[in-house]
Amino acid sequence: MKPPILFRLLFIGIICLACNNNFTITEQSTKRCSIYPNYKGITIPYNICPLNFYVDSVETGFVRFESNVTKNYIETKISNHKIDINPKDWSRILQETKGNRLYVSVVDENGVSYQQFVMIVANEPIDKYVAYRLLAPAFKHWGEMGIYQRDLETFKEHTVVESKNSEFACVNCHSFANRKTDQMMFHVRMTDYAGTYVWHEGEMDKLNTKTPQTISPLVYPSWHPSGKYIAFSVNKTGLTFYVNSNNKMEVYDSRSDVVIYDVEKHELITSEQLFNKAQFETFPSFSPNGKQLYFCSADTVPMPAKYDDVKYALCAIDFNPETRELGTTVDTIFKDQRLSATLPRISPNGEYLLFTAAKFGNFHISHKSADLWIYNMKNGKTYNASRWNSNDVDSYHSWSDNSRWVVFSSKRDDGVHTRLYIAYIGEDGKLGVPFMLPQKDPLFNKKFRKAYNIPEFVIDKIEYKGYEIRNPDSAIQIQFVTDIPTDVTSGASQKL
Amino acid sequence: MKKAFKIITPILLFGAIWTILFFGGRYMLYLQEQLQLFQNDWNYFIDNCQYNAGFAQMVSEFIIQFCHKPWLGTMIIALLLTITIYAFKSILQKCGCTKGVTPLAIVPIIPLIYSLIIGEFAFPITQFIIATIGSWAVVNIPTRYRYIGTMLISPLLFWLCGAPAILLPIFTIIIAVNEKCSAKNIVLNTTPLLVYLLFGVIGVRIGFIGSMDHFINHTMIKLPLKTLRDAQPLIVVGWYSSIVVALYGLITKNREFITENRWLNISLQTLLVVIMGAVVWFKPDIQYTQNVTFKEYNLWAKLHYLYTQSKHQELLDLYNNADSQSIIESNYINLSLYREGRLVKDFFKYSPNGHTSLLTNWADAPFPIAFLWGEVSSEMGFIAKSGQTAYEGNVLSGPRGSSMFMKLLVESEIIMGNYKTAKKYIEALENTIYYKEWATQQRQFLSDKAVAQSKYYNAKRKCIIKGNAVMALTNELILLKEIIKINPLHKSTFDFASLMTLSAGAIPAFREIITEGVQSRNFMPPFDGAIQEGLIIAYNQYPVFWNFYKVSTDLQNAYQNFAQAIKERNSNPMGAKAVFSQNEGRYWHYIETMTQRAKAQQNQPKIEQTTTTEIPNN
Repeated sequence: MKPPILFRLLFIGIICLACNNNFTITEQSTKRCSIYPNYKGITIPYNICPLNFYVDSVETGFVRFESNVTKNYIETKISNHKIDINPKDWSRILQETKGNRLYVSVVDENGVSYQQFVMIVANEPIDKYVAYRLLAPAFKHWGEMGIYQRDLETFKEHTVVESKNSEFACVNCHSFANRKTDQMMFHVRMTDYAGTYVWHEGEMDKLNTKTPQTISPLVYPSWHPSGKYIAFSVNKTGLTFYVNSNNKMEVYDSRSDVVIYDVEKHELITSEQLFNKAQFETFPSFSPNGKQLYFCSADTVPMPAKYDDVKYALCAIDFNPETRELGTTVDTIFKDQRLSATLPRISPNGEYLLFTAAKFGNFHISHKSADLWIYNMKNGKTYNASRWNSNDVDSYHSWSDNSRWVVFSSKRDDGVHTRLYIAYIGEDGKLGVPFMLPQKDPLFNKKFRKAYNIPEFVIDKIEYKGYEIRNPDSAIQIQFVTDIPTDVTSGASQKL
Repeated sequence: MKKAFKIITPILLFGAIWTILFFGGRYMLYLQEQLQLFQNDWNYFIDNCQYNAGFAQMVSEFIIQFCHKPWLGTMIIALLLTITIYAFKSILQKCGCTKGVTPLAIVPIIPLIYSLIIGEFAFPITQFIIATIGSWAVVNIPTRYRYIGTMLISPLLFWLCGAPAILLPIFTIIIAVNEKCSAKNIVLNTTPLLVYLLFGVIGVRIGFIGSMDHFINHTMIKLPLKTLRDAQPLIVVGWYSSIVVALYGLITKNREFITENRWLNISLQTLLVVIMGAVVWFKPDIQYTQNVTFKEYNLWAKLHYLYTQSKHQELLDLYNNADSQSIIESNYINLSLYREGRLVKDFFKYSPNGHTSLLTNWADAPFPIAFLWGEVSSEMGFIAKSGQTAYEGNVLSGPRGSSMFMKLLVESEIIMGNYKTAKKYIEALENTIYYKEWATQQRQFLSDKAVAQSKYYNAKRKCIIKGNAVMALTNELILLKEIIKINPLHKSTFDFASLMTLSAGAIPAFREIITEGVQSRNFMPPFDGAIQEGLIIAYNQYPVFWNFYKVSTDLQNAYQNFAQAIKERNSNPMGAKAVFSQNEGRYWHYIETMTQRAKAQQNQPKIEQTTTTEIPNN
């Protein structure tokens, strides 16, 4: 008796599928293939999600990932120029290749293999999540925007908060204490929801952060490792457009200071050194031990007239978290008249200070000359992280918990839409080639018309849900408690 | 006869709806099409369907894209609304109304039509259409399966179209009562409503629905109506009225109340007439936004349609016998004049509103200011500014941007040499029906070599000012002079700059523009129209320059007559009046009789001012 027709068709189908998976390489070619995103020569963590890519010159064929340790390999079909790697196979081959090299062969439908390229699999894992903001590129206005959390081991993206939950207010400057999510904060600008939201001990405080003594509500944040304080800048910011330049716009401070917010007492403290009218102080960042506060400082000049003369230096001041006292002297860590340094971030192991530098100013996300720089805190040497940088903007950055990975934003992909790049720094300080945040559809970033903004590594899932944004009848009014002599202050109480 | 009536009625309904939509709302619908971007793309579908009512949003964008050709778009919408009326009629019959239900079924459609005419986005309309057609499908399944069907379909409908899905469980209950179900069955039939509400609560908790506020806002009526942007409550009134109608049919148990209850019938018909009358009567006076009336906004939409469809003469004909009332109208007029090659010749014939007639001040309004600013900036050679405006307009238009601003972005990014960015927007436009061809054509310009060979793009690229100049430290006039210097052959910059200074009455600045224009070229530019008229005023004290700049003898004579008439105005008022009317539309006439509005514009500080004293005036 013959088997039923359906069964026969199914059997033939299975055989065909099996045949399709029987990939063979018949010829080695020296030709190079172009792939997007460019994953050639990159250093990757062993717990990263599959790095699917698009092969320009091969419509059908396969890609082989071979471990140089075990010589095991996985293969995945190229279909319509794209590969979609099986996550389990990928995870297995990365685990096997930890600390070694993964050879990648792109093979066309005739079995011709293009020149192999390499991915280096680091020994150290990356933090499981990265949080970022997504918004369409514009200057003064915005439409839909939100803060999201991406699982780096998969392609899952979770919504933290979206502007549509707050009448399309601007949600921004998300920040976490020690990369953990039990203490986080973000700002909401405009609408009735405006305020600073601080999530701690499972509760959300809405703060009114404008005080008579400060020139603005709180702006750029940095959590103290104890979770008891957040350092903020306060900025009187202006915006102007370039007449005909690809930099497009210039954002500048005409006044700025740094203050420290006591999360429990709802008080602001500062010192003459951080609240000085002779200086623009901004971008505070606590050291991992919490005993120093790093920040950027520039001599005040008339703004916007001298906007391209402003050069920020990296500075540090002591901070005693027990007594809330700030030191009396400011150390200058980096100062170069050719560069303006911003966004200091110290690796959790305290070895490196990573910052962004461009020719002038502080809003480097719109400066094509912006690059990442490293200050080695052991030997005091500063150098351009040239392996990570590009001809376009390379800016906002965050360290992973183990100090081996950095996520930063760059406009190198198309000049306008900021994308996230992940980069490796070895124990010896050697830098790996960075790679673009992987997406399931490798062409996702080609089509996606929103920009990634303020990437921050986080080690656990954010429990706070955006739908809990409420507009409480009264926000907590914070108090400015430091007594600053009026001849020194650049605060709002000082008439300039 | 009855069969013919059954066929003719829907055709008549369709025709009536189409007529109202086409003649009442075609410009607004066209504008909606311009401010959105439907993508024929799988990712676009997935992206939309992740959110509740995202499907309805996508369908509305799909339908509205056809309003690029307003006759077609309005036909599709009219057809869908006609189908919705009949689906609703069927639901009403299930609820107990047996005769005369067609007029009742029209009731909830009226606010939808109204909403479309006044320019409300089509999203709420699509929500209602999906909810009604979905409900119709469920209530027509056999009674014993209906409540299960409702329970299953309600969340699905909620996902597809949002809060209007509440229609389905409510109708199910009404129908259950109407069909004299047992108390047990009625309770059973109530469960879908509870499921619906529970779904809402759970949806909010898991983040599927933005917030409880969002959920409630879609089902509550927000009154009073302050601006037309709040017109959505009218649609909600429509939803509720449909429920009220159904309940009425049930409670009165008067299955034929339309035909039997004469007074009710008359009242209802009167109400319909009053609502429609109110739409026509009050429409122009209602504020579209806090500062703009509907009448103004509709006119801008019409001007935008005529300008973007290259119907420039038709646009200019609107102002043959009427003055433009706003700088927005003036900007459209002048852009059309420019496209027709008549800007310099006829600029002062169309009652300009000062120098802002040529460059609207960018405020926060996404449309039409952003569009005009982008277009004019591009013509003047402020390429980066054109792009910046397009980015702003793009994000303010909607979650996925706008076809109109994206076209501007493609152009500005090609000119600025950002080919990767331009390519991204080209690809987005290639995923549309009406912009695909244009976008594909732009692909050929994605290299420096191709731009150098393109007459259009190359001319614009040569206008790019080098250096780090920022707007805060300069002004438009300085920049225009700079562009004239680096690209003297870019005639539009020269024309716009000349007319801006003239219309501002800034004669010294005008002279500088002329001098820069002449010095930067190796030949004397052929001055025309208003520029020649301006030259007479600018060099009034030195008529030798009139000949140097080749001002026509006819014009010189005409001016001499005009100047003489002004001198003799007191002694010969009638004669002066006749000379004045002969010179209407000429620069010296404009500057002599400049309106208060133009004078107010003139007082803006950016352009160096002068007085009209150079005209002999007694």
